[in-house]
Amino acid sequence: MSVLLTENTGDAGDAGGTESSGDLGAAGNTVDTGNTGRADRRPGSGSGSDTDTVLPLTAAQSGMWFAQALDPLSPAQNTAECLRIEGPLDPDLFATALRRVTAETDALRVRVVDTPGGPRQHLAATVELPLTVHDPGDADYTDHTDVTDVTDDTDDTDDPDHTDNTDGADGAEARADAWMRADLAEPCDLAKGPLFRHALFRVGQDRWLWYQRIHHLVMDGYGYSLLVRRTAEIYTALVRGEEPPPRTFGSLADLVAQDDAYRSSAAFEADRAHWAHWAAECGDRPEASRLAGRGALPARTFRRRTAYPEPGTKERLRAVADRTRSTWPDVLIAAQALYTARATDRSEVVLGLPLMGRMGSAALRVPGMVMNVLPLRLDLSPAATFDELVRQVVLRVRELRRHQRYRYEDIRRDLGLLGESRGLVGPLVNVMPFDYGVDFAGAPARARNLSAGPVEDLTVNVYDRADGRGLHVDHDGNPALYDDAELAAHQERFLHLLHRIAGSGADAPLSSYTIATPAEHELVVDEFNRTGRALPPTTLVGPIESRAALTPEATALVYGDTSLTYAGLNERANRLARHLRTLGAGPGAVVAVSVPRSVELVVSLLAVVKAGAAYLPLDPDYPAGRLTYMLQDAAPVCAVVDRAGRLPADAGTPLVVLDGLDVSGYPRIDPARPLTRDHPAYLIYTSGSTGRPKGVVVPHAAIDNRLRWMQDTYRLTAGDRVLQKTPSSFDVSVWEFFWPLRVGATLVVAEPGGHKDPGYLARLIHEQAVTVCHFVPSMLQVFLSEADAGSCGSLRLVFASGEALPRETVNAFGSALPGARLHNLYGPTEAAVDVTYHACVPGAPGPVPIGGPVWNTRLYVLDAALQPCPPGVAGELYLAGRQLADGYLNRPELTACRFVADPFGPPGGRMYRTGDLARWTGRGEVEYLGRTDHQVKLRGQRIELGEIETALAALDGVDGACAVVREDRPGEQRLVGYVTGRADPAALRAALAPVLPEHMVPSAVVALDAFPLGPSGKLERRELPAPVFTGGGGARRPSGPREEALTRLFAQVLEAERVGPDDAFFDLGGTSLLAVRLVARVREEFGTELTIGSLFEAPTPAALAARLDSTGPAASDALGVVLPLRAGGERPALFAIHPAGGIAWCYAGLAARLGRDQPVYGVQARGLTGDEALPRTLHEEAADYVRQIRAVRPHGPYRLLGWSVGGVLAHTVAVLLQEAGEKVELLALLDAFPAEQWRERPAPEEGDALTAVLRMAGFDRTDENTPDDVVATLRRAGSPLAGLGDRTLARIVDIVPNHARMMREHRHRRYEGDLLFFTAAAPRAEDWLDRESWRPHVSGRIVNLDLDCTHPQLLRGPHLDDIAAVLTARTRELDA
Amino acid sequence: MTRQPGPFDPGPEGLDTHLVLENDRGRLSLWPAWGAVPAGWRAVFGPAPHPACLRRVARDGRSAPR
Amino acid sequence: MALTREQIRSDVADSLGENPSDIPFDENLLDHGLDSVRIMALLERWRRDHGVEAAFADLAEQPAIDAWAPLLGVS
Repeated sequence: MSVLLTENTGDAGDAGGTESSGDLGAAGNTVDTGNTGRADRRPGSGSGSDTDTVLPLTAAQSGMWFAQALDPLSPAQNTAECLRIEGPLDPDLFATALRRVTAETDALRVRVVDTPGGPRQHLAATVELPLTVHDPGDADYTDHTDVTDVTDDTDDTDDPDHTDNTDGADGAEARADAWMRADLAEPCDLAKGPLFRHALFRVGQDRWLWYQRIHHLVMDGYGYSLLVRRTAEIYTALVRGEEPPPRTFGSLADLVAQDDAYRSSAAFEADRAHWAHWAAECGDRPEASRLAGRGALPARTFRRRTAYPEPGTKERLRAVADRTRSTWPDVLIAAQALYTARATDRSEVVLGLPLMGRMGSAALRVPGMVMNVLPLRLDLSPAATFDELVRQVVLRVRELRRHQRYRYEDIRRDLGLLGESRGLVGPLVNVMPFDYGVDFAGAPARARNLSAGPVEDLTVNVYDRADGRGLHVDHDGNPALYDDAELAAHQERFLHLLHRIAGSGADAPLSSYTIATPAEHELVVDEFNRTGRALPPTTLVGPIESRAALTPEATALVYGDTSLTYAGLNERANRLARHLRTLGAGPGAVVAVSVPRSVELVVSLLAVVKAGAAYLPLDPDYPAGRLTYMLQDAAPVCAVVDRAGRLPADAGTPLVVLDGLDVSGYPRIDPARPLTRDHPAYLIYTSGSTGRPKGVVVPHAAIDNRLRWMQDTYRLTAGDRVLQKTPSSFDVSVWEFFWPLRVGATLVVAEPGGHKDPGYLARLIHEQAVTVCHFVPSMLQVFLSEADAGSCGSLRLVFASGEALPRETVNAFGSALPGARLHNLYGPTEAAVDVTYHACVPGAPGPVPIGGPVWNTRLYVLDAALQPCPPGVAGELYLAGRQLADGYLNRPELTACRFVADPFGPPGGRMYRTGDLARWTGRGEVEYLGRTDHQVKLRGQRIELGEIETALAALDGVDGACAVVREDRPGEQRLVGYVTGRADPAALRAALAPVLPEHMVPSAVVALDAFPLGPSGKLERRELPAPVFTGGGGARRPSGPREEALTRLFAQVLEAERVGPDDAFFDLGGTSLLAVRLVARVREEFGTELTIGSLFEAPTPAALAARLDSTGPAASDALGVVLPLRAGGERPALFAIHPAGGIAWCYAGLAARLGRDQPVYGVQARGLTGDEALPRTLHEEAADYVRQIRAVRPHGPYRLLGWSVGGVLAHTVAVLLQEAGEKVELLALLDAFPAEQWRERPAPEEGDALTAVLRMAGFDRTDENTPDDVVATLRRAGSPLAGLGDRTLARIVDIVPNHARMMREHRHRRYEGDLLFFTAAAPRAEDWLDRESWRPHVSGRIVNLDLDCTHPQLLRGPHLDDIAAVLTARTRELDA
Repeated sequence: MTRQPGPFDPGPEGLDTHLVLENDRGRLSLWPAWGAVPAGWRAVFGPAPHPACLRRVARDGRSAPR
Repeated sequence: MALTREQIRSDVADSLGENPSDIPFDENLLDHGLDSVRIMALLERWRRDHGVEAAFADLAEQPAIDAWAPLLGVS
């Protein structure tokens, strides 16, 4: 049991106050001692508020106040210390001493109250002493704290005097520790007070712990030292029966006055100006160095990690200090600066320097809160030596101290950084040079800090325990920013760094230091890069020739309907190769190839490498000027083209024109060639930052390594089918072309341009049962969301490379293609396609890594000093190993700058500088983090923005130019150019087309009066405005429902304003990805097959409408009885009969899905346009349709389909056709039920006609009451049915009830054959409808497919896919 | 704060910031003057300003494929 | 060995990395970069080498050699 000593403390502590009387301690209180419990603080204790002195807060205290106000319940501002006193102690006298100190210390008798005018501190004349004493008297102290008895695993040398607490040991000390921690975690009520407390624990016969906790608003570290010394002084005097030395503490009022005087002085203004100047000199804007990569508000707790550098460290640091005329804390600061610079990948760091703030001031004698933290900016360059860095620290700290009275909060406020996590300082380095060195009547005391206050980011507290006991280092971290492992890593690295610094000489350049520990160094340089693998010395083409000999009859490639065997391909290529050799092709020579994707392309590429030469792929779509440049630069011995005129003639390159070329005279066997692995295999150009593309030369050894690794990892078999879709000018295509051919698999070649159309790709993959393919991540995302990815079940392996792969795409892949694996690969053209790989796991957290290195390849993440970064720290990615290219053709300077010496691999090796930012994970994979320069990837294509800027700037009327990639809508990246000058931006876009490849022409060019500049005068790319895409708008109104619908679709997909029917898609900011989206929408709405290509050819709504008119229902006969939804195709036509409203447009979507070779005709009701009489019976109507159908197709077999009433009609037509002796081989009904199921229904009113029309468009009726309402709904939905004129709508209003009547009166006859039925299986009101009711009217089976939708939804999107699939399967069976 | 110029980027004008290294195969590499020369390479030019180093490389002709 | 004014200046200069002749006896040493750590180091040095003790606060309050001399027992 313990007792709160409640006696009042007596005198108010005035400045220069009276001597305290000596009798305070013996005022007749009994002290009960006990072991447990906590002090209760009696409310309203003692001090009357009328005796309180009210003072404002000092600026230092205000800072603390506002920090506390951000989170009033946070205990983070409790600071606390524990002194271990070794010797006997008299608790009563101790209490007396404490009371006297409290009486002498204004700051302890303060509480802080908020008022409308701001916070005020109320200084009480007296307060109770909040002291708890835990003294079990002469109990047996199970002395677990004895060094030899310790059962925890703390090493003796780590904590020789166990100022850390014992963990796991059960004892008085552990209990005391627990009590202290609990107390520390209690938030303080600033308005109530007291803001401090004491506790005394007896933890041994002659061993005591004195706990002191004080809120940081009233006390700082220096204040603690004053209090501790004074307490010891008084206690010692009391024990000796002497009078304690006179009080010396100054008053709180003094501090307030001093603070006030400063803040209204000229010095204050001068200091403010100094700091403003300092901020202006900080690069772009002053920013804290963030080890965690981000900032956070101080948390309610902190993580602490304690370490003890080996003995002698301080002495060695002192030696460095002596050498540099500094102090060892300066050396520590320099070390922390070096660490922080490397760990944040910056050359400028801003540390936080805590300052006592009392030098030369009366504050030296006032316990209170005075300390300040100021930003210390240091510049580190790898060229400087460590000693030079220390000198910089000395000089800048000196400078800083001259203006140290200006507070951190003032600087932040001046810079507008107050609030939230916009701090100004990074890690703090707080060096406390020595122990108190006090004793309590002879009993020595050692101090241990329990909390130094809130931790915003990271504070490194270093205590020098003097007397040879060495240093004690606490790394305190904000738990919101650092977990235990991260904090431990920072500390361990820092200590290693100190150790190295202590052992290095004066001349050691900063660049010779690495922040990785030796273990980390070994991990990232060696362990993660153990990829050595001996390989047979083959070239790119050797294995292909071997394979051809092994399996000559296997299918090597498929293109459309053509296929070639291995023997066939090999022979064709051999003949061409021999021809090329006569023209000079051979090892070391280059042959250009400019052939659109086709069988000939594969033959040509193969022929070039068989001749021993390197191939140079030239994209035929490139601007002529660019092609000429590449031809002149590469100087190939000849160029293989498919037709004359494919390439510009200016370069004078001899052409090999395949069209009409006869190579049959050449032998068909493999040509001999003196080809080695060092010879170049291919030469591919990439964007150049100064305006000219540069050619990367890749040798056989490099690409052979890559392909062997790929085969070993992914094991293609002869049964695999690999899709060739990537243009040959991108190096991804290299493995597409050559990998399958080396292992006997089949190469499926997509048609030219097909790689841009995900719908086409899905169909191709499905039709050709492709098992392996590649996607650039942005295209993959579009493929998964817009195309029928689910139908691509044949895929087993999909590779993604070329840009960062978002986690969402991986997850979408997992859902859409659960049977396939997705691998993320990374690599620049300069390293034989890819150098890393990662197997994606859908649902895994975090960014998708690019993975670990492939065979014979090493990855390095290096900091600015070319030292390896430890895992988790970002740096630049360098690549080394067998896959490096030889260099850039004709560019020795560029080659020497990018392919540099490798310090970590075999002697004389090179490494390639990627310019990518990256970091290692702890598991040996690399994460991509961005670029260091202005190279970007747009849909996988590498673009140097500088190349675009150069091209823009070269145009007339342009003063300045810059280019950026913007992502104004998530997932939609657009290339945008900005110019100043008088040129017309639209004209500039047009002017770029002949100069730059299509993917490098900006979506928009924005004219600016001036470029936005940052404070340092540099272009501020962040401030460039988003382009606004507006169309010509007012030019003219769209004419016709189709044009109107398309104009609306354009505006929706592009999110552009005022779009008019003559505005071009790409001028409105359209990109190829958005084109895909538009095409999908058009397909949904109109059912027609619009390809991406046709959008390129007819890019305006008007042109597109005209084009659709020619392939879809033509405007004029859109309402005729026979409506050709697709007239072409060799299969027997399918006739689809109209539903209740009489119009068959609803079948357009179905027609689109049935494939190009399936003709589809809609059969529509008479009377939609004219005034013909309506049929009186279904029989009559059906007979009429039979005549119309036979006019199109005189004889069977016939295929019929109908939805709703159309189904009933289809059945009737089928019966009539059979009765006429014709064959009906397919009768498909979409949720149609025989007449008897409808007989009981009441006659429809006009309402139902409206319903019918809406249902035709695929909607259920909601609140439309008139035909106008219906039209409005259709218009809003962009439905072509909105274009129906009033007359037609009026006719429909008659047609619908007519059909209803005819239906009820109809009698079915029997159809001979099977019925293919599709049920709208979602619950519905008409629950009596049952397809079995057809049984009497059908002789064969009723084969059914349930679709989870309502009746009107049957002919929409996803359900249509299912219906089409079944129909297609059935018609295939019939065709076979 | 922007990233500093990298080890292979030009330094302040006129300062001797870089070297040209050569290996046994005659390849050349730019190198920062403050960096230790890796094994198997030797400095054949510099310390000199970045542009001067590039001119030295250009003169050599063996360092890039032709 | 007793502490002298010149010795004080010499030790201070050494601690600051400057020439003793550059430090006037009455100069505010804060302007030369004197900080608490250096004061404590000097105190330790004088205690060790000369057996002289003084209070940190006393030295820190008026950091000038002339002000320090009497506190360090130098007349």
